[in-house]
Amino acid sequence: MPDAVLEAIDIDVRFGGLQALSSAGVTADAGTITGLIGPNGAGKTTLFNVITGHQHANAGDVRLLGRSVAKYGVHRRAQLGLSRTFQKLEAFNSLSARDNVLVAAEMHSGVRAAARQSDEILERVGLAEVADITVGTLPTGTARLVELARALAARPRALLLDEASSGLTEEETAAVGSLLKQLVDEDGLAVLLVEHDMSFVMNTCSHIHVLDFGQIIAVGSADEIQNDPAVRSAYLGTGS
Amino acid sequence: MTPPLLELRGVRAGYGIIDVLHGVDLILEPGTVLALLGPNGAGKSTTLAVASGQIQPSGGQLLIGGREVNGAKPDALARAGVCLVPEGRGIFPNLTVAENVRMMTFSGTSYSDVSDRAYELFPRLGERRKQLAGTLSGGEQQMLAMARAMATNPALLMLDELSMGLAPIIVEELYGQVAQLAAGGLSILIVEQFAQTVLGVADSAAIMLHGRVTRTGPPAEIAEELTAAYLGIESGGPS
Amino acid sequence: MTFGRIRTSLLVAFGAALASLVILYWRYGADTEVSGEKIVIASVIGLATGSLYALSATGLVVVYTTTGMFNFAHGGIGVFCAFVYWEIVENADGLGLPPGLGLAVVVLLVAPLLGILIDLILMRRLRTAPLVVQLMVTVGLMVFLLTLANQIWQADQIRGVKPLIDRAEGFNIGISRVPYYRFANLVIAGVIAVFLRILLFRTRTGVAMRAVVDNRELTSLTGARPGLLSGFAWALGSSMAALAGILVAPDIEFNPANLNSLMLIVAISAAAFGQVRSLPLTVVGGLVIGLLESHYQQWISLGPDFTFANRAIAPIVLFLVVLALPQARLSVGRVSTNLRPIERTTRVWEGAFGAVALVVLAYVLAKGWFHFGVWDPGEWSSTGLNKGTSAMVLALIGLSLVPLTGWAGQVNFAPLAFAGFGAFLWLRLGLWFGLPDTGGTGNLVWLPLIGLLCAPLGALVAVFAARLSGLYLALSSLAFALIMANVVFPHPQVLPRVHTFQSLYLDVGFARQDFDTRFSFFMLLIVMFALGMFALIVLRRSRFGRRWVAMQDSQAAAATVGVNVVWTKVVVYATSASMAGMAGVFWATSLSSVDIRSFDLLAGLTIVLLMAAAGMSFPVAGLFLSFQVVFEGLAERLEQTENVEFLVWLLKDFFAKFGPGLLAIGMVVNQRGAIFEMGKGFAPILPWRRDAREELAAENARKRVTEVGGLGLTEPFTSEAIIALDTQLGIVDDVTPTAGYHHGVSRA
Repeated sequence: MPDAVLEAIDIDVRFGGLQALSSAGVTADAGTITGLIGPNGAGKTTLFNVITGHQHANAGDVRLLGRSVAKYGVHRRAQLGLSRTFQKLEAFNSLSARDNVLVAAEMHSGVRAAARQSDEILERVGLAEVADITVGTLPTGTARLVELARALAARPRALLLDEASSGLTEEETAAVGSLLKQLVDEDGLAVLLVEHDMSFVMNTCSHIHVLDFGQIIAVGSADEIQNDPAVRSAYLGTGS
Repeated sequence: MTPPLLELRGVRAGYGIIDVLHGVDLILEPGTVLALLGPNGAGKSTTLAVASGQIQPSGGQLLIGGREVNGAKPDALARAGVCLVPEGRGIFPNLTVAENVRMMTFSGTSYSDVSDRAYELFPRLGERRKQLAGTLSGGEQQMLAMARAMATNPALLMLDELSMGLAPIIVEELYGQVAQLAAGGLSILIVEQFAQTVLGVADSAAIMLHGRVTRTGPPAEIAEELTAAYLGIESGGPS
Repeated sequence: MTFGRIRTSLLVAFGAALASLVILYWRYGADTEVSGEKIVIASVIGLATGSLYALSATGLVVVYTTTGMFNFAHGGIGVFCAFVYWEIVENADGLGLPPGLGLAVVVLLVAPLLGILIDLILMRRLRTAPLVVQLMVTVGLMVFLLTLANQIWQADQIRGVKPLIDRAEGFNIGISRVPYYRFANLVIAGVIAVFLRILLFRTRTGVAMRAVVDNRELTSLTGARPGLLSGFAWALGSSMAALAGILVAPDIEFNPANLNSLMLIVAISAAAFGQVRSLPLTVVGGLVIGLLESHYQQWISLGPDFTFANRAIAPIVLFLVVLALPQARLSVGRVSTNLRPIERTTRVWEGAFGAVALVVLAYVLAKGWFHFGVWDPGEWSSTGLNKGTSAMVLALIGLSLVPLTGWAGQVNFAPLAFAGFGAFLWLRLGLWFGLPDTGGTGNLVWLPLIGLLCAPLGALVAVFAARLSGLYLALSSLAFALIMANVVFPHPQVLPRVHTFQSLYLDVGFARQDFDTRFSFFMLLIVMFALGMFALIVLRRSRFGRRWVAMQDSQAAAATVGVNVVWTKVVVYATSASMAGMAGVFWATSLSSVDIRSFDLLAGLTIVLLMAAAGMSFPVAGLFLSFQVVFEGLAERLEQTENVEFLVWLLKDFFAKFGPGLLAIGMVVNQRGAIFEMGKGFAPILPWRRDAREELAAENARKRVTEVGGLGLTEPFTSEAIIALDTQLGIVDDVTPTAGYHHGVSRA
């Protein structure tokens, strides 16, 4: 039985009259990659924001390593091991790639240790060559990798990736995929990702949650999800 | 021979220094409905932004009715009859329904015509004239957005993700209206994720991937390929 | 929904203001008996003035809601137009138009034209600029308009504007007389408010103006022209500023600075009352401020220690309202422009080198070893040292803005308030702690203590600032500056009116160095600046510097890696406050006495403007504050020479006076500041800056690309094609490092 590193339980979010999430929940286990998919506007990013504390939930609980963090602020959750990337890029644009990573590493390590860790992570993510370049001038795909590197430098136990592959070339996507598998296998990280590139999801994720109209409509393996009629109709419309 | 109503020739465009469209070719014949499909980030909305004048192409040509209109401002195109209903509720949330309807008169239709037509098509809006548009339900907001398309007699209608976040029954109602417009001979370009619904009303369809139109054809053929594109079946893993 | 919350907050703020008025009366009531008659009269006067405030404020709100631009120059426009009115109506040598016609000409012609001009030339280009740039440009415009008014209508004669209806006409309430013109103001303001309401809610143009605020893109998709609408809004806003300026003029001392501070602060406070969006609440805000002011004057007398406290009413309202407003959320997404491809922070050794070079250069100049051929070295050094001293004092204060605004992005209009606090502590420390030299410690060993003691004030401000962002932060810092300047500092217990700060010295027990000559004091300032600059360069390369910049780029992302945003703000505010506090010691010493004029709003804003125009993120920008002083000094020196009147005028009356405003306005074009551009030109010359040379080469290559396009080729080249072409033509030598990142990431 795998340990749940991250659990979001029965999350409700209302924006005015709009019910963005109703009793939505996800679980991410140590050493696994979990996918969260669903049509546009289903509430995926909202759920992410609730988990990291950027969005207030009307009801529900978020548990990290078995401990409720729903009352904590964003930075506190981050210190406890929750890290993320953003759908709309939120890199530190006026800093270099290295400094982006350093800011995160320095939150828990001394000067030398942080510098060493940063260089290792940049190498691992494949950013060593652009380390000194201002992130604001990098292509979107590369800036996304900087966000990933920065998230890793924060030493997460659970890593949330929002559209990790958008803007990336096919090779870059593949590289991110194998990097994630490596992280999960070797470091026991729990990864939860929102993704539109379905071949990426189907190939990387061992569990997939499908969100539609703010509700989880299916949970299962790639095969189960692909053959689930509810999922098909959610994606392709009412006709099929 | 009449020129295509809307034509994009090798259009490149993007935000800042980053190109999203790498040479898009697209043709919409007069009086037809074209569905533009594809996964997120493929450049569908950017294509509409170019066609409506919101983004200036950095390369290639944008032609409307056979005339090159590169560089035309969105308000000028709107007055010329290009109507885009943008993604995510094309309404002004802090104006009342009636004021939203009044904003539809800038493309040349009189206020009485617009309001008569809008409230006739969507009686529910008529009941809520004085209400702030932002307090309407999602479906009603989309109806209000659609009302502009339907009440101002545009020459070219472009709809972006009409169905996003809406319940299936409302989507069907909205597409019923689209089908009526199409039957009336309006040229329509639809960007959608709910492929099945669109393909029902479309005369032809195009698939967009990575900033290019990769496939154009009759809806039936496109439908076959879509499942694969969306759910990643049979398309092979990353090599 | 949220409107209810806002209303509650405003009620609380209003209640607090009313309660403090009552408490003040109970404690410090003037020797007037409360009578119904007096209450009515004070209320009538308050409403009449308040309606003019409301008029001015609604103009500000109309512009903000339609264009998204908060116009700090609103008061300046009003001032300029009011003086134009004086010129064509009241001036004996002027046109002598009848008041009604003059009013029509100014309000319906001059003001709208000015507004449209401002929109066309400046504001249109700023729509997508970062907030800091928007603020600086409009503040720059305000300073420019004020300087212009001051230059045209110099203080050599006393001017006055008569009300439209003769003052003598009026009626009596009991034994007090209320003139009709005050009622006229009330009526005019009321009519305008109704007109605006009809315009914005009943006409298509008005609906479209409100639509632009909601969604500019969608507005243009409907076929409405956002450009025309914003031009119209600017014209309308300017007219209202002009009208308010002309109507309020008869009741005040008619000079540009006075009229501006009244118009600007009151308009901002009233507008903040309506969250800069709601017109009805803005009107209420204006009336409330008017009422508070008149009742304060009627009932309360705080004595000579608080002479200027009435000027603080509007800022206090502003402060309360901003604090009572619902909390701003973490803002996500903001586009920074014009970044350098290679991020390069000044290296420590470069900082040390620059600091030493500065000290040496200043020493050589101050000694008068260079006399530029023509000038008598003795003369040069005496004026030069005086000017240099006042410049370096400003430079030291300016340095405090670098971490706070330049790196952490926290807009601060109150550097002088922190500096004044430092000066106050310097003066009082001796008294409180029994240090030697009571009434102004002169010994610099105590300077670090000032820094330490100022930090908590900064931290306190940060606690308030942490929940604010963007515009509200800027507004509250403005209110803070005004409250400190009008209430706190003028109090004799804080800074005595007649006091001379004693000269500084450093006494560490076994050695003593005095800084009582011009030369030694100047060199002391130079050394302090060099040290401060060096310290900042080291700080920027430390984890703190990185964290601050990261926080400015994205607060949301900084929090997800574990950065405590509130705490980080507290640290950066404390750092800035202690720097400014220590600078305040030198500032006060150089002025030898500090009074209310030292804290003039314009003086503080000029520091901020020049820093911004130079480039707030570079410590060396502090030297830019010598700008005015240098031009003035040169002009003074040149005045003794023949046949250079034009040059003198140019230096003294044009560059020195208009410079700060014009430079800030120039940020429309160059948002990164002058240092950035100068550095780009200068760096490639330095032998160790290979990176700068490569960058320059790459930029030139890019320029050539656009030139090729300009030859008439319609099909743009791809970047691959250009590189191939350039290599073929041999234009770009083997400069490839920049090409690498254009093609994404290469992987091992």
